[in-house]
Amino acid sequence: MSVVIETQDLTKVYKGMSKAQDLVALNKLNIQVNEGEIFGYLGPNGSGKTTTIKLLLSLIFPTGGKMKIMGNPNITSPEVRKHIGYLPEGAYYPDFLRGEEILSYYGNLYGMKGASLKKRIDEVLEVVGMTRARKRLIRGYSKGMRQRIGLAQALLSDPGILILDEPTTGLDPVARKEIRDLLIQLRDQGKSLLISSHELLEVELISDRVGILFEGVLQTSGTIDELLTSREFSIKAEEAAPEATQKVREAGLITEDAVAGKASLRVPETMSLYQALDICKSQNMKIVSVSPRRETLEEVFVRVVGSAVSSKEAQRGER
Amino acid sequence: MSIWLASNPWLTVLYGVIVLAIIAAVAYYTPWSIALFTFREGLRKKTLIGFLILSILVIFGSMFMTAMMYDTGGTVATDVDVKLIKDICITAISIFGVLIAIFISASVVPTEIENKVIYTVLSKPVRRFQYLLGKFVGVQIIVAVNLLLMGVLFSIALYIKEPIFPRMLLYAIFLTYFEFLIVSAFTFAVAAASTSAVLPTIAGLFIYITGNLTQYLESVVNRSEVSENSVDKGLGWLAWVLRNTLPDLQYFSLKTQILSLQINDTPKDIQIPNLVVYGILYALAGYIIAFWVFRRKEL
Amino acid sequence: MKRFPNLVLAVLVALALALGALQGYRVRNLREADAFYRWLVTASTQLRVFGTITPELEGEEAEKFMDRDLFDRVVAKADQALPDTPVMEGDTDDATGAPYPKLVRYTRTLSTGSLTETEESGTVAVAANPEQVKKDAEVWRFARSASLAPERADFVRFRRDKRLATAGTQIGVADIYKNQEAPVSIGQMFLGFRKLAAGLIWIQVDEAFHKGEMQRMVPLMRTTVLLDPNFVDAYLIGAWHLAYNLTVQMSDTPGYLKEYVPEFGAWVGNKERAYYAAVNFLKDGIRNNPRDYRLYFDLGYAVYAEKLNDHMNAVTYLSEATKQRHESWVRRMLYHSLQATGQFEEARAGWEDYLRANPGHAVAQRMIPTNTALTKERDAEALGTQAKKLLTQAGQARADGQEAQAADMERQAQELQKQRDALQAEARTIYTDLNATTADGDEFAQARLWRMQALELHEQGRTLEALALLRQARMEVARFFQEASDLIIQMCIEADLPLNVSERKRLLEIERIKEAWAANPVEIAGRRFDFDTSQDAWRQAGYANQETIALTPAAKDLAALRKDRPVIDQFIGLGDNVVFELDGQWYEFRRKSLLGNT
Repeated sequence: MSVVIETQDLTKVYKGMSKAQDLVALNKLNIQVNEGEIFGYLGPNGSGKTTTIKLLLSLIFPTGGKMKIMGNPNITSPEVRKHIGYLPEGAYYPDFLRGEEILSYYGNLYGMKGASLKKRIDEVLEVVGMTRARKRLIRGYSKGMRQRIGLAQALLSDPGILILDEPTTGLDPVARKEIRDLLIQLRDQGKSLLISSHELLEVELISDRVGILFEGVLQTSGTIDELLTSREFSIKAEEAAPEATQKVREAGLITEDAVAGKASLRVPETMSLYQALDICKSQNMKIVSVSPRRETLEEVFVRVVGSAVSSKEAQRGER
Repeated sequence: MSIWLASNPWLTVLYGVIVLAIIAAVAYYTPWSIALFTFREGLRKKTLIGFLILSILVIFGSMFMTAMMYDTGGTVATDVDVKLIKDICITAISIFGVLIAIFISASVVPTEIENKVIYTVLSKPVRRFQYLLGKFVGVQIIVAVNLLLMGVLFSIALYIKEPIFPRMLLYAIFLTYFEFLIVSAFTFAVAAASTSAVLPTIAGLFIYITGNLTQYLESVVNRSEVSENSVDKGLGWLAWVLRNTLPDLQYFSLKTQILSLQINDTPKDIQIPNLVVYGILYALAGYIIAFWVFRRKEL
Repeated sequence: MKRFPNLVLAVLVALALALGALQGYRVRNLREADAFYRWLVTASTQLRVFGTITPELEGEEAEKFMDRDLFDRVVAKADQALPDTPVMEGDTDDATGAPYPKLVRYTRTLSTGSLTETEESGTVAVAANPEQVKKDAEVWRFARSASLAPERADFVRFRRDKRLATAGTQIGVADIYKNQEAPVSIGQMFLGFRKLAAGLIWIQVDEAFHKGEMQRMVPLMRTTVLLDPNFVDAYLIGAWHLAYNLTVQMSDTPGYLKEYVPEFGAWVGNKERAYYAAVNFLKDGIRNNPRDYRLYFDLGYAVYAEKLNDHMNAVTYLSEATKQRHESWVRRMLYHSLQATGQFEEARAGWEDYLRANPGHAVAQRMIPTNTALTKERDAEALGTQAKKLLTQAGQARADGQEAQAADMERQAQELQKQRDALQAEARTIYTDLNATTADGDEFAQARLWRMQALELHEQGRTLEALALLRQARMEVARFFQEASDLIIQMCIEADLPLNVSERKRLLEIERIKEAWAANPVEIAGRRFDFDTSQDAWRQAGYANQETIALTPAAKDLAALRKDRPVIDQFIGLGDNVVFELDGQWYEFRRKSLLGNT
């Protein structure tokens, strides 16, 4: 498995009026996107996700560090560009054109022409499910349709690498599902995808690997399984009287839910499962199920970002 | 030496070769799809259509204006109304045409930056040089088509008054284009450096106005020649440099001259091609500046 | 490019700007050469037409202006640089007998004006004379050639310092602008739209005309041409306003109330002032547009001939108009003016040319015999005068006792009288024919017949009959009124008959004019243009002792003399007697007809 996108100590500083006003958008970023995987690039707004993508596309230029795309450090060369499909966030598409016209415009930019271009346009329209709307003016498109057209233009040259900036933002659930499925399908075709998002659930659902970015620093990265380690268990119990629940809570278990005699309990990391089961038993609860508890990406995210914030505050305090 | 520069025929040939090379290079490197796209997009701009409608109003309004005039007769045939129509129309074409040129040149790139279309384009295998060239050529197509359109309307207005094919009008319109080319190229350079269309539009108007006032620098030079003061001398030197490097759009006033060409007037054969070369060279300078600022521009 | 992109781009920008600047330098040079070329054409034309390059300048101003100096330098170089060209008719400066300098001959326009009359006038889209195009190109090449660089540089400098009175678009060109120097260059204020500004101001002229605000029109008109010196129509209509619309509201100034204005070289009243303003306005137009026949035509015909009754100058400008590309009727007006100055032979030759080009042209068909008859009439009168002189001498000889000589002289006189009668009979036949063949009768011929008859009757002592005839004739033919009236006064005085009230008033006016003159030196007092009553009025006013050369027949001698100095401004009396001074010598001729300009 080869690395298709790689950054080395990638740094981007937006110069201000003085040194103090300089804004470090990216600080020594090292990410890798492997061939045939979906890399979820996470971070809150303003963390530097889009900056990274723009750097990869040479829309802006780095202050320091290196980038390689498909092993080629000359990322502006048309040879490299040919293999990249890019969907910018919230882009506008000239609304006086029809769906297929804008695609043919973008196709020309790839140097595609004539019948082969036409055929390719038919294909991508089919892929994104826009065949029926192809003759309509973009002006009449819904947000989802625009996003699909955007995706279509990114797919036009059948690129090996897809860089998608917030691909599902502002879409309805059905559309999200469709897009998600499409991305997975593309991954399965062997394409490498870099998806930036702050919609954690989306990313969790489709990503093979994720990187979490905060304030220009990559806080953590790894496969979903690596990140979402399960060190806790949940216990579901019935016939739990409110007093019993109260007691259990006092003993150290975390009550996640307790309605009409049914309780859902979390065993904290500090307590062993047996201990917990004993506590439940002592309160005469009827244990229905015991399962390992998988952390959500959201929790990881909050944890990572939270620790970054606190360490930063600590730093600030030291200073 | 100076005369050699002014009238050497070989230099003329060299200039012709340079200009042809520029045109050929532009034609070869231009991504025509971008140019065409820019053109199609430009045609939909409301300001542009507004100016076009205004110019039509003025061109045909000029006919009503002169219709009110009393035919004063006299002993020989006079055609003041035709002269007035010509002057009003060429002025309207100059003003509205240059406004269109400025607005379009100032807005094509900043608009794309604003609505992020530029991201999708520049992420394709298109070099910035090519992108900018495509945009620039697209602007030129818009300006030329507008000029042609206004010229056709003008000819119609003129033909109604005086049914002679207005051949001189073609030359006048042709010359006007190269005047616009200079203004457009420098406005485009400012636009390439900025993210909104407001600043380059103002800059474009400024370029047009100062370009027409370059001749004033000459009097500064002349005055400094008689002065003893070293500050005056320095100013005079600066004025001399500016006078000789800044484009002088007054040169293109030839267009009004040839329009009301008198019988047996001065032969104009060599001034027109020389002005064309002049326009192209300054446009080239403007475009290189535009590329220079755009090359490493953060989008 | 890869390693030092900024450096490479900076060099490229500098290179493009440098090339552009160089090209700008070339264009500026061309523009200067263009202005220079225009000036050469203008100066040459002025030399040829006005007789001088800087006409109105004297003393200090003459020293300030470098026109002549610069022009002479260019002319010297042109003799070397321009190819040889044959000397054509009208290219000779008869004052020196030498042809004009080559440059002047080269810039002269070769008319392509159609001799053939067409239905529609005003079509200037006629192709230029190819010969002319070639010559213009030659001069244009010369004007921008390297050899002329110092002169061109001087031209630019002088023009900038306003030391050229003749240069094209300069303010302060003609006297009309002398006190109106603009503080800033107005043209620059309009960003190159000065022509439009001129047009818009012209609309105001039009409005002022409709409101009758004539005085407001004049400054507006001047502003118009200041902004656009190539606005020929403004010159034409402006001069027309000055000469016609402005003056129509004025009353005639009686001769004795007129004052002498050296600038115009004439006695002027209110109307004449406006006429000369029109003359200057048109002359300024010619300075700026030396190739437009309409300016010459209006100057010659509309102002000089029609308004100032100065056919001498009219001929000058009309013939210049025919040298430019022109409409066919320009020639007709020239021939009429030629006839009015007594140059009947030239007029007839012209008409014959015209008829060849336009077979069956009615006016030409009539004017050829008319001029023939006028020639005969004039010759007859000359013979009569000669015969009378011989008879007087014979009488003297007889008194001295030289009978044989006296008889010889009488015989000669009789012979002359016989010749005269024959000529008169021929003229009369022609007039009669003309009168008979023309549908409604030929007024002119009829008037000439009546005049001849009256003079004959008067000679035979039947003055009362002559007077009756003339009194009736002047009512029948309106154009004949003035001439007949003057003839009546003359006959009455000669025959010692009483005058009626209006005739006495006329004589009274002449008396008062003479009184007014008395205060002035002779050469000023004599410059009268409208005094045509008594042939010897001018003699009584102080010219009795002037030796004059009588030009008889007038036509040929006059034509030769006129070439010396195209503009003869030393007129004394322009009535039936035209007297003028050239190089200290006075000439006179007796003009036959005032009815020429139809």
